[in-house]
Amino acid sequence: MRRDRHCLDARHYVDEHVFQLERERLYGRLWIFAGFAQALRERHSYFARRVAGVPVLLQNTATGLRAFINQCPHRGMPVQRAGFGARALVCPYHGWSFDGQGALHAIPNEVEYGFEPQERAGLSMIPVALRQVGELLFVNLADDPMPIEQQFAPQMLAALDGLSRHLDHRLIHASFPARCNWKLAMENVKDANHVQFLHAESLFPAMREEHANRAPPLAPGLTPAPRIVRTAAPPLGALSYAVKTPLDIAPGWFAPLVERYGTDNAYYNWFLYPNVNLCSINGLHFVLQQYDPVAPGSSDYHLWIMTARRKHPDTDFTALLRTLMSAERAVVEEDLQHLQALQGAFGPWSPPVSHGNYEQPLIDQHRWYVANVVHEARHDRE
Amino acid sequence: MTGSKHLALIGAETSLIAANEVAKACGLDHESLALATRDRYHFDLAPALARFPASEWAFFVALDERAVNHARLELVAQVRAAGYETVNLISPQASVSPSARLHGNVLVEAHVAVAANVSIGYAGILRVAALVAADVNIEAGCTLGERARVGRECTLGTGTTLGPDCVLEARLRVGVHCELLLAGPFVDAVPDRSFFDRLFPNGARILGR
Repeated sequence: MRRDRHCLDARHYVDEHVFQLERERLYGRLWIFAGFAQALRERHSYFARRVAGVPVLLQNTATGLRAFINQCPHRGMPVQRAGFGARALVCPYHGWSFDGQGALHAIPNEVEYGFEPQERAGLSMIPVALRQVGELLFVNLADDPMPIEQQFAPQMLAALDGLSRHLDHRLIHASFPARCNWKLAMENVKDANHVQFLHAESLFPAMREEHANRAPPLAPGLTPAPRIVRTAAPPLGALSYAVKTPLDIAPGWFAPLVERYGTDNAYYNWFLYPNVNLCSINGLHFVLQQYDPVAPGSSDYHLWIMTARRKHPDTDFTALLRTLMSAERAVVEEDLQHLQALQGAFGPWSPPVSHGNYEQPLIDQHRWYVANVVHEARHDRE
Repeated sequence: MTGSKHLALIGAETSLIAANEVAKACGLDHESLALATRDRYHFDLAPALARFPASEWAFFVALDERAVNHARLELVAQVRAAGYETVNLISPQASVSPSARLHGNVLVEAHVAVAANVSIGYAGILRVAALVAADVNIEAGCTLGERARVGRECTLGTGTTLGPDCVLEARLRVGVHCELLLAGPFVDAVPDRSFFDRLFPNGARILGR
């Protein structure tokens, strides 16, 4: 029954054409996490980043939070060049300025350009669809975006909204290159069985023995199966799900200083298709990992970390956030060393993947991907 | 002795060892006491306060750098609040311009050079062979690692650490509570609460209030 244990081939992780299909049909269609609203409280605050290669700008404007393609309509210069900051929408190249809707406000030395009124009226920044779910900001690069409710089930949206009330307003962010396909990173965080091998001394000792070797519970709507079940591609909404695993980590010293999420010592996970894992240790601090595609064998790895909301705004968690980020990064490095080796081994010689029963969520995710992104008929191997 | 008072070095880690070496090189008669800690952040001052009365003793507080250096600043603030004077320790093998201002409890190790009109806030540590060019302002609680170089007219915010061989180009502003633990040059301003090291070559940064 080998065919039921196989879905994607090595070429799906290395092929340039497949990568272009992903950019068009996945990242060009779905709602993609772009950042946290609590980092954009101040007027003119912004963050600029790429979403599958597309330069996207999220900006606090006079009309609220807005998203744009981060390019000036004059020559294409990024309007905001730094990753984060607080600065009005003014292109640094020739000083063109834009209002909160991205419409052209003023052009210095305008007479030099000789634009006709109708030409000038068409000069604006390109808006990008933006949806806020709690503190999480999602963008959609499609001309006619799908409803976000089509991508995330109502209970998932409600969960994100609810947990957002526990997210502190101060957070730490880092991004760094990963020499592997974004799908490998996402599959890795959904695979609890790797923890005892790659994180034997860092993460594994904290997992309760009875759960350490097991896969997480399946997503709502999926039936636990004694063996991999070959079914039609699941609905998009089923690819994002939540998991809660008991942990043997005592609440940290800062527990009395924050409004904890939940009451259990647990490892909470929210997997958001296609490329986000939001998790929390004991409901005391939260980590969001995102794997942004750069090329078939290259990704930008984003980490966002925040504590549960501080009880007093004067509490300074600068050192704590720095420490949590370093600890998380060290665990990620344990993953990346192996994922990069895996990526480097891919080629036409690669054997077909043989997933185990516990990897049913990966198989489901892959079936949706095959049906909706690469549009391939299954070519199972016996 | 320092002035009319005896000198006691209190603290922990390599900074306490370095402070002892500098005090010896200066020919200062002194005592040294390692402070107990349960977590590297909170230290038990009680034995030091009991053993060295403020009426007879001055302190130098020595503590290594760690994330944003709160612990060192806090410890110095505590001994000052208890009525103790804190002294600067400057290696005789260092060169410090007479116009430089050191604001107390600053450790300057051997082969350090501090140029004219430099200001170094309290609880600063300049490790071996660090170089500080003229007109630099270093706020309280900063650490300059071995061979770190700070260009003219730079400013370093409170609690910032430069790692070994870190280089700041002239007129650069580095914000508060930063860690620049990469060797080589930084050429752009560094916002508050930014952290660079081997695993964060692009930096990690704290956002929001």
